[in-house]
Amino acid sequence: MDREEKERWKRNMRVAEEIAGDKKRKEKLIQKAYEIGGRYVTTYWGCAQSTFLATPDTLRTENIEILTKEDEEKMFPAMVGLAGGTGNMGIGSCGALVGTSFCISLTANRCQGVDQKVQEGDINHRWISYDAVYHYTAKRFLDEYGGLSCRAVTWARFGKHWDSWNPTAKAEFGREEQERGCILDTAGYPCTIARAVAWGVGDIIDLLVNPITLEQVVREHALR
Amino acid sequence: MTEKKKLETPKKLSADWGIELPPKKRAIIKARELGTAYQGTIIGCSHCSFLAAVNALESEGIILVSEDTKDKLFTGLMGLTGGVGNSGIGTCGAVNGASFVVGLATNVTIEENARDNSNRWLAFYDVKHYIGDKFLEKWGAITCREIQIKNFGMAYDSRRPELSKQLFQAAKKKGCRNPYDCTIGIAAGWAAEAAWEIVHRTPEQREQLKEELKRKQATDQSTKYGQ
Repeated sequence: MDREEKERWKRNMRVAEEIAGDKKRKEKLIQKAYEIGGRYVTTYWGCAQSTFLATPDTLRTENIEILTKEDEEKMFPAMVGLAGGTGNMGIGSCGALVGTSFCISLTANRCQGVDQKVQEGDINHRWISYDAVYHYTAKRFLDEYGGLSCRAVTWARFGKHWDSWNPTAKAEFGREEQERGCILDTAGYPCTIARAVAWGVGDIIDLLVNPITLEQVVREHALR
Repeated sequence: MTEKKKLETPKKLSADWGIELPPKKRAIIKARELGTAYQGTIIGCSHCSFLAAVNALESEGIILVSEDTKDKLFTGLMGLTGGVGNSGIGTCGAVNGASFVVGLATNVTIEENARDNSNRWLAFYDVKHYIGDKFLEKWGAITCREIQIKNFGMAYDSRRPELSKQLFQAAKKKGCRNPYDCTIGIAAGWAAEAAWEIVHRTPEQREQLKEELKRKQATDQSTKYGQ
């Protein structure tokens, strides 16, 4: 990690501290996350890539830059195929969970100066991102939807699951999403993508204010 | 003093058998070897499978990402290890890491996705075809717990320190830390193979496949929206 990036993370942590101490500013940021997340649903139409992009874009509106625009451009293609429970198969992790978890993991690691070299130097570092993703994103999904998979989410929300590779079922899924308002009324009926972005943005602020340290994970997981 | 084990199968095959492996095959073998080796040095299915495939492809001249982007992807992927945050419940990290590699090769960009959001089906197809379907065929699942059950007859909750250790012991006992049995190595090999084939598509072949997918998925409501 170069000096410029390290400085950026220091600034991110300072700004997060300010936001955390200003309730109205934080609420406004969360509201913005719903708006941007909702807008990206119809622009990209994929939970993983929309969530991945909306999270840093929302944070950037408050001068927190977890990824540069250039980073986003380069990384975006890696996310697209993870949508819809991995390759739209439904059986894997919800793409919104993947997009958010990626941003949480990146933040948890890089705000602590953890990159590949650091992880190689002490493999216990990996638990920083494991814990961040588990305690923030995974737990939120488990509490709200009772699972992490695309199927778990659609089951909890609609009581149904559609095979997105079946054109007839996919069309029905789209119709139901539209009828419920989760496409065109994202403020009134936030879809999973917008909700995951809002969770992710709030959690990243929290994580920057209260970073998970190596000492913490070594103690909690009885690591050597 | 015992000689340090070298993970140089492609070279060894050439030396022992006089076989000159084609570069694609070399990349696949290298990815399997690196994936298995990284699990001993960096640890973690998601970031190890990703790094192994990307580095193996690089060794044969295929550069999917810059060093800086690779490092950032690595740190973002770490948390997706062990079925998301080591919970065991979500998608196997090796599936995630391998799918990232496939996605980078398929290269559906922000602009391409926003221009016509049905273009995203190309990335869905490549991830399903090259990674998801292969995992289903071999393990009957793409989720961490289910793959563990298939591998070890049981799954361990790695969030509990004592059970995390038991999982590593089970893998050691089974002797699966080799390029042919290690889930991470296998996934890295599949990712390298997929990426090789994808980047060698001609622009016409890519367009043709994309259009075919869009025709099949014409009922997809998403095409009505977008910018």
